[in-house]
Amino acid sequence: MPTVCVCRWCPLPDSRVDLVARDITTGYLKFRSEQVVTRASFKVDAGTVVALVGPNGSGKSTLLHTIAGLIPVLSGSVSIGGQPPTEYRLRHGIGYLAEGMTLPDAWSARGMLTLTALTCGGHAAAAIPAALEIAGVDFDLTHPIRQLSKGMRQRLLLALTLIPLPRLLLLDEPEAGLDPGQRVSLRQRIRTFAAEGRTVIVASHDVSSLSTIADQTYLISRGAMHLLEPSDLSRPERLMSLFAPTHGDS
Amino acid sequence: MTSLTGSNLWVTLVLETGRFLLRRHIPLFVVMAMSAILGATLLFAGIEYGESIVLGMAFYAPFIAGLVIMSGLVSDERASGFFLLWVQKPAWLSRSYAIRYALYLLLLALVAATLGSAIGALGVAGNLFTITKAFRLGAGMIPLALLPAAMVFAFSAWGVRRDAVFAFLTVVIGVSLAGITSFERSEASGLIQFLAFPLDPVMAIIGARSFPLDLTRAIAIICAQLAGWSLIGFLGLGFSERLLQRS
Repeated sequence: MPTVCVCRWCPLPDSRVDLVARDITTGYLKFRSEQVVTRASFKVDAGTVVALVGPNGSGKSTLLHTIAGLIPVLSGSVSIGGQPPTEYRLRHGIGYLAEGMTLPDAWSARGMLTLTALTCGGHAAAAIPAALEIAGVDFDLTHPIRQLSKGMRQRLLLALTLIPLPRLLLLDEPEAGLDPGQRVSLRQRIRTFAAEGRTVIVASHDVSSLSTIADQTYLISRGAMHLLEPSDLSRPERLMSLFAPTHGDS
Repeated sequence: MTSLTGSNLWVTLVLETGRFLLRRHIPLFVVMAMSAILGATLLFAGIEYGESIVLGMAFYAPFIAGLVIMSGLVSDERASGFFLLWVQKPAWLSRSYAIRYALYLLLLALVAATLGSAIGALGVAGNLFTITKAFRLGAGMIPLALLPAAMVFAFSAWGVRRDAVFAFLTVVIGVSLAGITSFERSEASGLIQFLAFPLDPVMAIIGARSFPLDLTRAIAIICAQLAGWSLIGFLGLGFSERLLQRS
C-alpha cells in the first residue's frame, strides 16, 4: 500500500476538504468557567457554500474562530480534511476573513500582497492574480492603504486572505462596506470559487444576501444551530420568529 | 497592473518597505534633515552651538530612529486584529515578522550609514574631526540605531503596546549603568554593559574616547546583544504561536 505524505508542502491526498464538527460546544473559558456560546454538529462537503446567519451576538464569529482553530472547542471535535484545525491550518492554511481586521494604512496594497506571498513561500505569488480577481480588486495597487475607501480595503483584505488559494475559506461579514454592485459580483465569484471543490463558510446577519449563493443555510440562535429550509428564507414571518430574541438573550 | 511574480518579489518588497517607512515616519525624517541643516548652518557660521548640534545628532538621531521605526511591528498588529492574517497562513507565524524585522534592520542600517556620511562630511568640512574619525563615527551610528530597534522588537513581540517607551527606558537605564561603570575596567563592569547597553564597545567603534577595547571584541559584543534581543523577540512570537496551537 503506498504511503501518503502529509507534510506541509505536499497537497492533501484528496484535495477536497470536508469539514466535520461532532457535538461541539463553542465559547470561552473565563476564570475557569465556561461561557458557552453555541452547541452544534454538522458536516460540510467540499465544493459547498454554507451560510451562517443569526442575530448580532449569536455566536457566528465564535464558531468561525473555533473552526479556524483560533479558540479551542469546549467539548466535541472539529476536523478539517481529517486533521485537527490547528494542524490543518499550519500545514495547508485556512483563508479566514475575520470581522474587524484593520490593515496597516501606511503600506501600499502591492507591498501587502508581496509580503503575504513571501510569508507563504515564494510560490504563493502565483496565486495573486486569481486572488485579486476573486476579491474584485481592480484599483491601483501602488496607493497607500490609507487612501483607499472602506470597500476597497475590504476587497484587499479578502485578496490577502485568498493567498495561497485555500481549500477552506471562512468569511465573516465579507460584504461590509461594499456597494450593491460589488456585493452581487462577489457572491457570484464566491460561488465560482467553491465550484472548484473548495469549502466556503460565510457568516452574516443578512439572510437575503446569502440565500442566493448558499447550498445550506444554518441559523445560530439561542445557543444552538439549526439547518434552515429554503422555504424558511422566503417567509418573512418565519424569519422574524427565528431571529426574534427570547427573554434573556443578549 | 504591476507584475508580482518570481524573482522581483524581494526587490518589490524592499522598495515597498522603504516607501512604507518613509510614509509612516515622514515627520522623523523631516526633523532629522532640518536638524542637520540647522547644525551645518550654525557650524559654518562659526557659532559654537553648531558643533554641539552636529555631534548630538550623531548620537541621538540613530537612537531615536531605531526606537521609532521598529515601534509597533508586532504589537500594533495584535491590537488591530491584523495579526490573524499571518496566523492563518501555512507558515510559522514568525516568518512574516522575521522578513520585516530583517528588512527594517537593513533599512535602518542604511539610514544610519547615510546620516553618518552626512554628519561625517559636515564634521570634516567644519574641521571638527579627521576623515578617519568621521568614518568611525558613521560606523558607530549603525549599532546605535540597531540596538534600540532590536529592544523595541523584543518588547513588541511579547505584545507590549508601548514597546518603544519600554525600550527607551531600558536603554536609559542601560546607558546610565554603562556610563557609571565605563570608567572601571572590571569583569563586573563588562558584564553590566553586556547585559544593559554596550556603551564601551560602541565608543570603541566610534573612537570618541580612549577605550582599550579591541575592535573585533567590540563588534562581537554588539552582535551578541543584537542577537540576544532578537532571540527574546522570536521567543515571544513562538509563545503566541504555541498558545494558538494548543487550541
